[in-house]
Amino acid sequence: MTYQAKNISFSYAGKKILNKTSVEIQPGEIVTILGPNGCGKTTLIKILSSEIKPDKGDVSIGSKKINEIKSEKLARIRSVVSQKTNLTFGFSVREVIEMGMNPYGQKTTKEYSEDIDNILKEYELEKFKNKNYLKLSAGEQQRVNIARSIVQLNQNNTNQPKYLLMDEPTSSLDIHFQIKLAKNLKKLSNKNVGIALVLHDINMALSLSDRIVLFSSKETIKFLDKPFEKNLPGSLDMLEQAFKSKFEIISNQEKIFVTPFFQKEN
Amino acid sequence: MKINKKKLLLAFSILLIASLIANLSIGAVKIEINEIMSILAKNIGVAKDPLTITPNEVVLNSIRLPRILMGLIVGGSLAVCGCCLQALFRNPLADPGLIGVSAGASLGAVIGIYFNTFLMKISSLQASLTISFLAFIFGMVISLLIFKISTKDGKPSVAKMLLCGIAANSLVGAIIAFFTYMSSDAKLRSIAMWGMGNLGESTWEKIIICSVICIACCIMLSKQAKLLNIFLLGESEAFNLGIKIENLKKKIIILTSLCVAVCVSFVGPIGFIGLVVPHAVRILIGPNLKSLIPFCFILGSILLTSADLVSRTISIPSEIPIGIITSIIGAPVFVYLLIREQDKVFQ
Repeated sequence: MTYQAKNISFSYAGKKILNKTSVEIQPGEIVTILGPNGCGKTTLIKILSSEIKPDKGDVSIGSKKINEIKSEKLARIRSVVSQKTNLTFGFSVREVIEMGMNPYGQKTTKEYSEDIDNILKEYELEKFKNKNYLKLSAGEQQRVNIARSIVQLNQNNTNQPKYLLMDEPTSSLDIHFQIKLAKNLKKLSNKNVGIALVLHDINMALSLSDRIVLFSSKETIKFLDKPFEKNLPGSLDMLEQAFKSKFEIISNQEKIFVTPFFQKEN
Repeated sequence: MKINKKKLLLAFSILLIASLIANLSIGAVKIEINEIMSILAKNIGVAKDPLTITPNEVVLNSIRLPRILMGLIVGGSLAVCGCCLQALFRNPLADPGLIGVSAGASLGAVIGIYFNTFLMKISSLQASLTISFLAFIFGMVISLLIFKISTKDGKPSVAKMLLCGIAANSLVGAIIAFFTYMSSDAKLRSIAMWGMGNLGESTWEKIIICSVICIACCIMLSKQAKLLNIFLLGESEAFNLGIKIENLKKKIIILTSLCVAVCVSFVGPIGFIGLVVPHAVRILIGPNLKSLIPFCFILGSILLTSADLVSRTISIPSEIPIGIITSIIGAPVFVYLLIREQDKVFQ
């Protein structure tokens, strides 16, 4: 049951954002989307999640087109971490995480309560659980949003593959939580959850992903497969073109790192 | 400042009962509690002397009881609608007046009063029901029109609705001003009085119509509480969590329009209840609509019945329109809440 976007084109306000883009996510696979600001990464995530409809092309999960799947059922198969949440009134952290339960109807079992407690613990949110979400720092709010989207998938006890779509989930996280998130994403992928995430950290993408989708511009997209230490050097040009910067590749046996190359100005 | 809900429910219940008893007892004619109890007992068929009808019984059954019940229903309903609209517009300053229902209903009533030559020939109850009917129809038409204009490709835009509501309020205000300007002195007075709200014309017929529609709407709105909570995360998040957001928006708009239109058409526009009550309750128990909606209903009922008591008794034997009282009490309370809890209200 592959999550697939095929030949997606999308324009907004007369501007072409995506042009015949195709991406697929296999169950248990981590696909990272890298690219410069404004290249259509967020749009792609929104099209994948079915929040916006593409002008052309289809999104499907398995054999079903995404718009044919009922909204509640879809919410049990895929959850989304958006770049920003605009909560209006000050709900408590626990209440916000519990909203992840929505696709499963009314449930107040012990199991469910334990699940929420575990996720609060996992993301070190226990001491905030009764605090007003709006009073938290950006990083703490992002942890709550991630926790909520994971609760949304955890409640689905069936064996069918599940998917997690994340738009810059690490943008406000400190290094400790970035590492924690990376470990958790690996764990989820081992449980057959397919993950698509937008990142800006190239090295995190290299160490975490099974595949990298590199947007150089709206028109040019390249797929980088593992092993990156073998495949990345050939795509360095594209990476440099995408971010309009020079990069240096540091290889260390099995690992590969990319660092921006700062030239001293004379 | 979150308060234990059970304690708050107890406090609200005591206040509500106190307000009801005061309303039944105090007025141009004072009725003792013993007598109230015996009249109420007689009403439900447990009384010694069912044949004699005392003047106090008439005052209680024909004037005070209908008025109190109308106050309970309208106060509660306006507060619930205000609370749901604040959630829908994701804006703490939204109130039932914003979606054009009150303005539309006022226009209907003013037209009814202005062209009342026909109404003169029928009984006062029929005339009053006709004005209510016109108010209801205009209230619904204007709010649905705003809804329609703000909907594109089946998707209602909440921001557009808010702006259209402001425009409609202004346009309707101008039309009302025109009718007011053209009216004779007697009609002018009726129009002005209608615009200030009044529970005094409540009859059992009106209460039955009002309670059936309003209570049904409030129950249906309370069933959307969980979804509205999630809607407060933003439309994208709500969609991602499996909510059919367009359906939810339509439901909330139709139910609140219907409920507010019925209230306004029977008692006139009553300000501030729909705005202040949800704020007050939110400060007390937090923003979760599952408990916010029922508590809003109770506090709305308490406030409107208490305001009605003040309006009836402050200058006996004349009455001050209730809209004046709710605004005089509501505005300072609102400002007080804003200053005291400003970071909570605005976040």
